[in-house]
Amino acid sequence: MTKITDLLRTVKDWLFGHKLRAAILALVLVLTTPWPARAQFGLDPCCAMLAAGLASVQSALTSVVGGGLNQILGMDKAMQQFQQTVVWPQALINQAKSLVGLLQGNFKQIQNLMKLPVSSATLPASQQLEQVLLSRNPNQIAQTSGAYTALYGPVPAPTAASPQVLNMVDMTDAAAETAMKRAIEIDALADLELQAANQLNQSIQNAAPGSAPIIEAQADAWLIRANAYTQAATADLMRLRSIDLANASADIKMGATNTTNLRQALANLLEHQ
Amino acid sequence: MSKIFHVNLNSATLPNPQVFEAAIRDHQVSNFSSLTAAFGNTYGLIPVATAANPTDRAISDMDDALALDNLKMLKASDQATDIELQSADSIENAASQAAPGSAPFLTAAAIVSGIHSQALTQKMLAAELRQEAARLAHRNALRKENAANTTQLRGVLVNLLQHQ
Repeated sequence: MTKITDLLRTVKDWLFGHKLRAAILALVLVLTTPWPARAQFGLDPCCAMLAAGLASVQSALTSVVGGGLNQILGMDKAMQQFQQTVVWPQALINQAKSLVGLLQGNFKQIQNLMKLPVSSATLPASQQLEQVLLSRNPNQIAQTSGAYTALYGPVPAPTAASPQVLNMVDMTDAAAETAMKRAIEIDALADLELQAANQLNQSIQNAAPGSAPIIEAQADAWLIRANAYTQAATADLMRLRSIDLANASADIKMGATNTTNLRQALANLLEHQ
Repeated sequence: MSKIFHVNLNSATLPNPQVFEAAIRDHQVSNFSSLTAAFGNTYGLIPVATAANPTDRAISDMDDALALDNLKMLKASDQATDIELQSADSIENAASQAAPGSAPFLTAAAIVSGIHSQALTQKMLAAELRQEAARLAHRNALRKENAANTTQLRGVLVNLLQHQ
């Protein structure tokens, strides 16, 4: 408090001692004090000029830029309408989806048809092999050989037939057994394909119009896979028929050999008499 | 195409084969027992236990079983083929009214139908594999039987010569 009083006293003394300087300082402060701004109702001529400029800008925006913008907006609306009525009409999309639902019913019928029990064997050995063959279960492939041998018998002992016959018998059994195992595999794969097709069909029913081609690509991949499995099955069928043909040929060859041997034996017999 | 596909192909002339032929080509899956009966009437039954050796009876039973399995399966697949043709017609009709934005749904549905069709073809191929394999196995079993009979005959002849 004392300090403030001392300071005020010092200022007072300075002002009395420097009257001219104090007057100049007061004038400077008055001149540099901020003035209040003029409102729009003021009579300043710069307001009118400003209003005229703004009106000109507004006019330019409305007539030049606004017109262009309106055209863009109109075009945008027309494009939107074109897309809604011509490219993506909701009614036709719903119609396509309802068709997919209808097809789902057809697929279900086909799947049920393929699951109908068809087994027909009546004797134990044939029933056992038939059950394995119609199982559609890859885990039962290992049981094929046992059931096959129980029904069709094993390869004869080495002393029971010539090496050619033994080779032929073994190869034929192998081809037949392999084909039976492949048939179980193919049945199981076909079941998986049917499941995948059903899932894809459900995805199509729930798909957005733009995402349908993605599901289409997935379905294409499955179709390629299915074609490959069909080719594998066809290849096994061809192998089986090749073995059958080779067997028919081998029978002719062995017949010729046997005839030659018999002729030789008869000739020897006649010579000894 | 539909007319061509539905031309009647039945050709049997005698009563039993006619019944059997009608059963195997009727596209129905509710008459498997009639099919089995018609098969028996046309091709006969498995010999009784005293009329043939066990191997022959078992092989004959297996042959008949696989033939019948496949004939039943073919009746089912004939019906499935009819359904596939209906699906194809539906897709074609829908495609004629489709918009560019709805066409991908139909394309995807058609491809899915293609997968079903392939699966069906595979089922038929699997059945054909089983049947062909059984045919080969049957012939091979006869070959094994021949080898066994030859060995047995050789033994009998050797014994005969030894006793002379």
